[in-house]
Amino acid sequence: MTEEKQLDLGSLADDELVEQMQEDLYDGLGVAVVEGTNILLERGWTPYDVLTKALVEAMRIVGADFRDGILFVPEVLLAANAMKAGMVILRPLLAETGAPRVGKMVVGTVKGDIHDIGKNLVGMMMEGAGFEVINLGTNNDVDKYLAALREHDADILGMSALLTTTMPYMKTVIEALKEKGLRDDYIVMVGGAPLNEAFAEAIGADAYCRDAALAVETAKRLIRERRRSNLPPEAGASA
Amino acid sequence: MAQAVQHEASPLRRVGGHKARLAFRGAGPRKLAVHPGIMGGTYRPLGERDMERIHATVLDVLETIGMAGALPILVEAAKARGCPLDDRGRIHFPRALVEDVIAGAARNFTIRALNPKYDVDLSGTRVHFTVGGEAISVLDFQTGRFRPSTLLDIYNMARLADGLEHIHRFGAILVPTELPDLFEFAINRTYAMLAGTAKTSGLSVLKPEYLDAIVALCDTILGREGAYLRNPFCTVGGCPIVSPLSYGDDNSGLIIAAARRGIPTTAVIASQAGATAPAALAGALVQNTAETIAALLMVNFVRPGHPMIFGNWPFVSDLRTGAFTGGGGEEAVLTAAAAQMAKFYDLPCSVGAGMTDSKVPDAQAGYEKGLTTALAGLAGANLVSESAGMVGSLLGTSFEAMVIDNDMLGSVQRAIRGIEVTEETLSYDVIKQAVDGPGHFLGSQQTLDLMESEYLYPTIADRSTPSEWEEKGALDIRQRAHERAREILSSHYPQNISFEADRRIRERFPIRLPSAVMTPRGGRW
Repeated sequence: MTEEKQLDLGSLADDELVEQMQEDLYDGLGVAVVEGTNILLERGWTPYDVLTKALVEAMRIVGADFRDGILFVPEVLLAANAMKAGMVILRPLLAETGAPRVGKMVVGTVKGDIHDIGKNLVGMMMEGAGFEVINLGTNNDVDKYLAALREHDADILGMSALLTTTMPYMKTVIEALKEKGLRDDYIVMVGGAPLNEAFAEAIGADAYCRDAALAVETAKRLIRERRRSNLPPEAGASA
Repeated sequence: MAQAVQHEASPLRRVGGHKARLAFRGAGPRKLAVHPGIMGGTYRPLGERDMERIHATVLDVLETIGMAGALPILVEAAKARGCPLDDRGRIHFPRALVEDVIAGAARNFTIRALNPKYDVDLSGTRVHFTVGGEAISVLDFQTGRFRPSTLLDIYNMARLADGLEHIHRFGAILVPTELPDLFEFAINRTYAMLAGTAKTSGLSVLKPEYLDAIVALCDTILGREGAYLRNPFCTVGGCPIVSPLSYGDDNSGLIIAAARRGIPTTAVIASQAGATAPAALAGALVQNTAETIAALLMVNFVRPGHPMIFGNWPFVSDLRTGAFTGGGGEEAVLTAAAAQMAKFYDLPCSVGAGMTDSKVPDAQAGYEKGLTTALAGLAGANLVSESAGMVGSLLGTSFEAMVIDNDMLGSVQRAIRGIEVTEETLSYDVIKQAVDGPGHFLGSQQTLDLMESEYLYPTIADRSTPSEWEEKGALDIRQRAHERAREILSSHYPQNISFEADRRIRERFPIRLPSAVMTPRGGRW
């Protein structure tokens, strides 16, 4: 740590600490986020509360500021890395305590398309928001998508394309899901520069996401809606 | 994890969370990627041999053809230096004398501003962008149609320029057409400009006999008699030449009077290729450069070594009509060459660029202004005048254009700045790290460190996607500029003149700008 960092996080009351952690996460200070996470856990906070009350709220502000042009992409990635650092501690504990998982996403660029920087940004932002992300890279055909969804028991399929010539392949994937009777098992989100909402609707996707911040918001919303309709209300018990 | 730790060790590390970042970004453009006075000079349309030949012809013109119309004081001074006067009344300047005067002329000086942070260093090929133009009309802010320009307009233009970071100096952008009395015109326009901006100003005061009043006004602003000449925070300019090759009475008298008082001057010489100068661009350059040197001779005869900005402004005609045209490729390259000639003499110079012929801030205005200002800046012109707010071949001005041009000038400066090639910027290690690691550069330390110092972000130029743009109302740049101008004009009222100084100025001079329009009260915007 640099010498500027003289604040003793352990001396802060819970609400001050949470506020400080949110600031630190926003500023991409991973070590401080890890320290704060450990302190809260030592004080008896549930992993789920640490995640939702401290970290996720900070990433929500990051997403909003990215959307508003206050934060630049490199700063968002820095914050997402800090979030991931906290998640390294929290994820196994969350699994142990049976807390509801935020969600799992399989993401990849479609067959014939090798552009993936936007899709990677989405992946990093989703991880930053607490999602587990399985990044399939580029040039994915139907079989690869389906195998990954099954293997990882994913909630969300994310597909991207930069080329107008490759974007129709998204429809091929969705049709394959329908044929196998799997379409309703997954939330399907699509993105990429040439796409728009009308296209997403036409191919039967659940959402088109213009940018990474919007992808996170949309994923959270769709997961919430899905749980509300599928699950008994116990999911909210530990919140 | 490792990456996060590495970032925290960065000297540019950011702290303070959302509020701190908002304040940081909200503080306006960071001015890191560009700054006033960026070094130009990389664009050189003339070769060394071309410049030698132009210079040799300039000397021939001054020595053999000579200059007509010199005021008696100049004739006497020239005779005293051995310049023959022929029977047609033309002064002939011997080439050795011309070269001596150029060698002894003031160079590498700084022009002062009311606020010293706006001082403009004219040394070398440092480039600044400035307002000027003497337009007679303005695109009305409400109706968007031309109407005669007024004193209030120039006050508002000054305030607007004061609030725009890529405009480095203000000037007489328009004339107050409602003031028929020339003294009232001169004193009021000066007052309105100096009240509207603390940036350094280029004044245009019409007649030599008004200079004492102008100096008194400036002294009153500074609060002490004699203070202005010790700290001349504005220059006085004029067009002392009537092309081809004749001095003009009023303006050469004005420049002489200003020089004798010690007021830094700008001599702007704007012959028009095809009409008042040769149609051949090289010939236009020869004549205009000779005329600008004739102005330099005049100033230096009166007051050797007096600071004069070398306003080498060759203009171009549209030979279909004979009218001035400011926006074509001929004007762009000729202006760049004019700057190059000034730098050949190592003289602090100004040129005119950004003088679109379009009547509104549209695509024509954009490309004409972009091309001409970029070439002038790249050529190393110290002051690129008329570069913001002008439309209609210098006949009109526009508040929206001023805002758009500010964005444009930021981009132009970024291009002038060029590319710094160092061991570090060559980025071998950065490339290797990205390839070995995440496969992209968006999260690399270098990107974080350079995202604001290597890149300039426009204020009103739109970079959103078509769908975002539609969601935000599908506004074009003129509409966005209108709103930005309104924001500045409704809130930015510089207080350059103290209450006491203002009272004294109004007691002494017939100031026609009501105090009531000089405050944000009333919601006029």
